[in-house]
Amino acid sequence: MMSAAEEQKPFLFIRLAKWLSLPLIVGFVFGFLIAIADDTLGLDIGGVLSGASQGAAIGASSIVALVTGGLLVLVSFVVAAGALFPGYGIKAKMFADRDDWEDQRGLHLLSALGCFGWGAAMVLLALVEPLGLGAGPAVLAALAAFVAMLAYSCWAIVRRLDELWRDLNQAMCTWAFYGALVFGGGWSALAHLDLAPPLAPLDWISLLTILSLVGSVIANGQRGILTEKL
Amino acid sequence: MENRLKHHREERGWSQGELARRLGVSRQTINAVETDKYDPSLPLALRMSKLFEVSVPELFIDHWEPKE
Repeated sequence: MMSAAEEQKPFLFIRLAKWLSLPLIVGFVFGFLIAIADDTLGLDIGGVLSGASQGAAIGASSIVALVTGGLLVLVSFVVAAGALFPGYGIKAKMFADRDDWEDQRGLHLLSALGCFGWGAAMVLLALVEPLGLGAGPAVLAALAAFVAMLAYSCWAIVRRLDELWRDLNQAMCTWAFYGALVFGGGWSALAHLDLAPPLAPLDWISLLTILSLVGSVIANGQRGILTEKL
Repeated sequence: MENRLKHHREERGWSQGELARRLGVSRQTINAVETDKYDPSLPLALRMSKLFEVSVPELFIDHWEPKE
């Protein structure tokens, strides 16, 4: 007869495999795409990372923006998948049931669109300098398209918000605002006193984006919305 | 704040979606109110009391008492 610990082994292994499967798949897909981009478009991403490319070496600001933007793009795919496939959306606890999915999928799709637009804009901004792209017409057009996605998404979502979501939105904005005041203001105060380097424009974009995400988690968490599906 | 929204809704045989439709809010709002995660605005509380034909204090129970 197996002990309790032995009986748990396969279960733990399966859980671990499940936890690792998504990061592994995402890592594989991103690695594959970067390899293709490297080969076919001649982007020299390896050179960018080592600082040996035609552009500047990728700095801390660009890395933070790249990671934050990449995360937003990834989240947008997950949210869009939940909005398009009810089985997955319900299993991932984005929706309580099929009726909930019918009600909310439009909002989730809009949210995914805005998330993708802003995330892609951040990735582009992070890579402009290291890849030596410059502020050419192609970059500006792509940036305008990404920002337009975000603007349309915000406009359409605000029109659909009812009082619960407006309340959550206000709480999220409050947390983000005071966070920006404390972290951005505090850092800038130190920079003013020559005790720290000033925040670059890209740093401010990353900071505000991260604080909005943190504010959203806090606002939802305070109301217990993250602990149970609605 | 405790409330008897679920009791009154179920008494009428309405789903959360049906009540949300009648009140002009999202289903999440009804669910959040029923599970004490969100206190509705005064206009929404008044609409609920009109819909269920009960007073607001019958629908929402606040245990606060004024100090002497």
